[in-house]
Amino acid sequence: MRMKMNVVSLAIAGLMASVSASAFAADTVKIGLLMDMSGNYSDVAGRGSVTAAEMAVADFGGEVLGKKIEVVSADMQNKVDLAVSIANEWFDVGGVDAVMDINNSSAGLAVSKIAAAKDKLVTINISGSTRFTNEDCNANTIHYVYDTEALARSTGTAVVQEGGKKWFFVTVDYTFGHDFEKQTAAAVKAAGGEVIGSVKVPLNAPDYSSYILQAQAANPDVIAFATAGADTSNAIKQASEFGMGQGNQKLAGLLVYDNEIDALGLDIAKGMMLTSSFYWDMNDETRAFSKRYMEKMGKMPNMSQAGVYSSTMHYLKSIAAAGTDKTADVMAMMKKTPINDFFTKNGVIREDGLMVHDLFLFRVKTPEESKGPWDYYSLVRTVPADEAFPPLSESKCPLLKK
Amino acid sequence: MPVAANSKVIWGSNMFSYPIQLIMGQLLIGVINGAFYAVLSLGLAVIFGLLRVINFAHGAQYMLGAVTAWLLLRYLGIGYWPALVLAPAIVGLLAFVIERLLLRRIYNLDHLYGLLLTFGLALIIEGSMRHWLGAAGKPYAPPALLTGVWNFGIVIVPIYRAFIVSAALVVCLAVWLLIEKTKIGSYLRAATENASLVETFGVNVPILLSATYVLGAMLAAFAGVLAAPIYQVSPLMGSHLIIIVFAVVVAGGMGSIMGAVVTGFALGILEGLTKVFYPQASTVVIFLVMALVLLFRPAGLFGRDVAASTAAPALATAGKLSRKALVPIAVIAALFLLAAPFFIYPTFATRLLCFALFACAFNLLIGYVGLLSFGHAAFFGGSAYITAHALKIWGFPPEVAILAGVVLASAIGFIFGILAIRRQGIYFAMITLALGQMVYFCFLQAPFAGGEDGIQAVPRGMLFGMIDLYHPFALYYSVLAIVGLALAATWRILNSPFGSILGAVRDNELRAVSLGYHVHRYKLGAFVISAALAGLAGSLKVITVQIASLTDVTWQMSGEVVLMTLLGGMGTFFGPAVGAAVITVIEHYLAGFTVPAPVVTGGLFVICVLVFRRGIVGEIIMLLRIRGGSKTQAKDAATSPVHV
Amino acid sequence: MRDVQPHLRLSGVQGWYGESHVLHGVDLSIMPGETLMLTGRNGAGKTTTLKAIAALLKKRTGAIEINGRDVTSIPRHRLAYQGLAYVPEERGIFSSLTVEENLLLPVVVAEGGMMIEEIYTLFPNLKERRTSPGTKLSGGEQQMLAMARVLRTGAKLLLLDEPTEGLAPVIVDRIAETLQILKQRRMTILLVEQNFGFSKGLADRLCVMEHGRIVLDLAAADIDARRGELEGYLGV
Repeated sequence: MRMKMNVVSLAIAGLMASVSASAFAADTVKIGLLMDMSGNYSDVAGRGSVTAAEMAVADFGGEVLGKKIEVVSADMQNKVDLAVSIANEWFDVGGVDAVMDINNSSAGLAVSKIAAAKDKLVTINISGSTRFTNEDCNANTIHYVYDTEALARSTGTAVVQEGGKKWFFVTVDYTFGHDFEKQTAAAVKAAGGEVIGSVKVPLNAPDYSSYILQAQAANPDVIAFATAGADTSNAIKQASEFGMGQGNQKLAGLLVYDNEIDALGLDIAKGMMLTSSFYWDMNDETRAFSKRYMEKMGKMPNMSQAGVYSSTMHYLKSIAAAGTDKTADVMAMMKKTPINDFFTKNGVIREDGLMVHDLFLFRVKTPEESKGPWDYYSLVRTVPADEAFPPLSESKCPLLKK
Repeated sequence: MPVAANSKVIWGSNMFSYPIQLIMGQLLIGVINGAFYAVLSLGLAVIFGLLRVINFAHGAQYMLGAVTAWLLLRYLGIGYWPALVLAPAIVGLLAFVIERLLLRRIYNLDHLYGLLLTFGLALIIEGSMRHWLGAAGKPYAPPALLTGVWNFGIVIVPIYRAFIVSAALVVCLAVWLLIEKTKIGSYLRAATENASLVETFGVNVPILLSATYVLGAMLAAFAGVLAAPIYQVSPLMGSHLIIIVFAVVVAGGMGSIMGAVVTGFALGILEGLTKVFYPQASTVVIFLVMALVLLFRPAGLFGRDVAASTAAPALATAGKLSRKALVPIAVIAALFLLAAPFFIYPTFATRLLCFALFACAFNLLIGYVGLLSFGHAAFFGGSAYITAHALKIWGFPPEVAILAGVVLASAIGFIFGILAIRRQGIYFAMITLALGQMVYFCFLQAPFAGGEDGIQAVPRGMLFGMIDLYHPFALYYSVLAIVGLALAATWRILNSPFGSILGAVRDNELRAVSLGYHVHRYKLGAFVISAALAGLAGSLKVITVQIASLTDVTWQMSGEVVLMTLLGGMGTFFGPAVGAAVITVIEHYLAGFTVPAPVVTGGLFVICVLVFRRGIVGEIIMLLRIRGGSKTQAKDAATSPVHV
Repeated sequence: MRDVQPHLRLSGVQGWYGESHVLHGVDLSIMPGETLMLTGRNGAGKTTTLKAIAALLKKRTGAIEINGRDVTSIPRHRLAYQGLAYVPEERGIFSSLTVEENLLLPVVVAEGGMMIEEIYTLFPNLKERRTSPGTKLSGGEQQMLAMARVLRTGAKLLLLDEPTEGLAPVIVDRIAETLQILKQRRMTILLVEQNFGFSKGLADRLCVMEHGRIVLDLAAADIDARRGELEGYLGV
């Protein structure tokens, strides 16, 4: 009989834990982060993003409008339905007011819809799908750090201008990848280049050799990787192994984080062009933040992690300014107030939820140029906000009155 | 090294001519992949041949080989060439410990427990590594001697990859020689046929068993070191590969050395060629071949006669509980279930009910027919997708959508059944695993399924036009009613003549056949019922969480339901439901913690297999019956001789 | 007469196959160099007795002594080192081994075993087929192989289970000859057999088993005298 009691009490204990959380809901402002803590995207966001949010809360003072601020996180293991379950529970009984990041586009889209239905706030820092501010746009979601369209225009145009006329795409086979390819192809064509072929690769594929082979056969000037996370470093590494990207041929990572460059090593990645919203070594402010982050996490923050800090801070400031933590009012304040911090000097959240700001075009340094770990990028140029992001008039967001 | 000017190829999306360059290249990659499949299959075949254990931990051991090589380089400065020897040695040592402490205890049990135990070990090893190292790949450079490419004009071959093929061939040949031409090899071959008799000849078979497991693990680790420079060293590298390697081994013949190597290379090449002509099918083609081979040559291409397990897979059973004891428990349980949404988050409780039904559906097959299906996610997830689509796109009311899902699940179940039902034990499990993978790939590719996004924001609708399922309480009680009806129907079936015949089939199939029963029809019937119930669970789940995703059709989901049933008590009626509740609660509890869920899940698997085979409910029943005095029946039936 | 201890002694041995209680207290002893024929109806427990000695039963109790030493706690794979050799009813020839590999399979456990060349001289047909797979031999040849390999090990105590079953009379004679060779080398033999003709001239003593117990223990010389009794135990 002992055994049965243990099972039942374990069950009840577990459930009680989730119920008791709601007791605090009224008295706290709770921020949630739904990250992939151990999978493909865990390095790029994961624990680092949670740390960034915690730093913002601590810097803000830990309290707003007399309420304590709390940060909770959960590992959604890169699974959409797990993210959905956790988000639902957070919103229903967990007292979470805002989710500051969700680790992949699919999960992000799902949670964004749930937030809209339950009057909560969602900010996307890690994902890039343009659907957040177009077809799937709603009044509760902010798309903060970048979107694929912006990266496509920036990197695509720049690489074509450097001489990369014939493009071949290696695209991860889901909406994120497909959209990314489409947008980059459009930017390439607009800049005078042409797309000579593409191949779809499954998510988490360990072996890219056969896809690289197809790229090789097409003999392009540029092999572009419309992939993310560990897939990007994997694919680029193997492409390099096959001797691609030498001489006049370029390897272009459309979405590349410092973490991936770190994983690849400068030997392989040197000369690659990429677009980013943020880099730790740009000025004193960025360096100051990044050093503090580095002390906690052991690595430099990338743009999404810095974005979590910035967006969390913006959220908290907006609550204070609005005098209430009700979602609609806070959201209005967030859109009204421009963002001026170490992350961006001229950020504005538009009506469709997109935070437009300057982007930066970087080139990866050679091993000789680099002075140490994480010293990977040299700035090529700043891409002003209106050049990087398409105008509001082009947005397909149903919120906009047309 | 500059890339030589290749002949220019115009590449369009509409290709009718396949450039020879591409074919040669894919063929080469096929051979390289085949080399990995061959070495890994060889290790699995060697282990299975003697130990009769399907080493699910093989992928984890492969990964450990790569990780060890990386660690040796990173922290001890030990380079590639010594690592080729050291890493397998270290992994071999770990394998020795595993065999001595854990595997040894289950040799006398049904072979399925070996699969379950190593499955648990795989989860533990991979979960721990993920937690420790993160999932991003670590860089590992190929040795300086082997960098660069050979340019043959037609095809570019990275030198290192060519080395892999030769290294693999050398190792396979060496192992073959060891087994076929040496004295120790003769001990191994003889022990494979009759281990206990060989012991009476004075051969130290226990050491032989350890050595065999170590050899298999070392082969896996060796493949891992070979792989490190080309794939990023990542804790995830094994789980991608292991299912494919299983398919290769099953197709080749599970204990056959020759089969493993030849089939490994052959299927690698086939996969490569498929990538040229029809890339979407390349992931499925190996499973397809496996299914075809099993249809016509059940022992695999090179396998020996399948030793048909004539006795029931002697899985631990606790028997039935008397009416008297059942009633008070039933009352308490009923009260608990009715009151649940008042003190448990209702959506969570409803999800729990769905998984309880899923586990009960699975248990129907394992507990009452004695067949371990490792592909039940196909029914659960398949139904989920159809129901989601029916609700969202076709706008059907929930009861019709559920019906649609159940019908599909039954249809898939029927097809699986036709293909698999003539096999038993391990072979049945492997076939269902492969078939489940094929279903996964179908849903991965199918546009309506939404790929990685899944089908989101599924509406719940009004049940029978009257009950608004958006209200959490209404949803809970509706699901409770449906699940209750389904379980009641199952109870009726099990206690009917059909059910008794199933029991007879499970206990002694040959006898049932000799009594004139069309055993396969009964098994097929049970299979379809099990699939339908699993489908019902999937439909209900989709209505509850309002999303259908690929997770629902993965083999990991199939593994989850096995664990739930094992933990709760295989063959008991309510055990699986209890197991489902416990697992779901644990995983929910762990989401906010840093202890990785797979490690806990894997640990539970291992504990259950070693000491807790009857599961929670099984143990409770045992306790109650001992109290009730029926001592003679309270015996562990979980033993069957390995060889006689 | 010098007091010599039995080569093999069983005292109160009980044995189970799974749930079946097959041996109900077997008492039996064999002197060195003796050949004991163990017989009885089907299901009496003869094979099970051999299995009990060879540690092939899941569960057994009682005392089993070889040369006065209790061997019940010795692990199965070390039993051979007590000088024990077991030839099961199915002969134990392995199909994935050649004849020669089958011959070389058992471990040499004591001095006094034959060299392989000697064995080939005795069994030229085995030499001829040395590279064939073991099971390609005829039933009779397999039986010869099974007994021949015992010669190599130096074992002194042989458990032999129904060697003549299913074999033609001509082959049976050859096997009888082989057994004579073993006897000449002073091997102690526990022979389970139902073929009296075969055992005549070979067996020194006869034990009859019924329901897992020894019910009759005769010297070979007394077999004819007690024929009636024997038929009572062995008849249908």
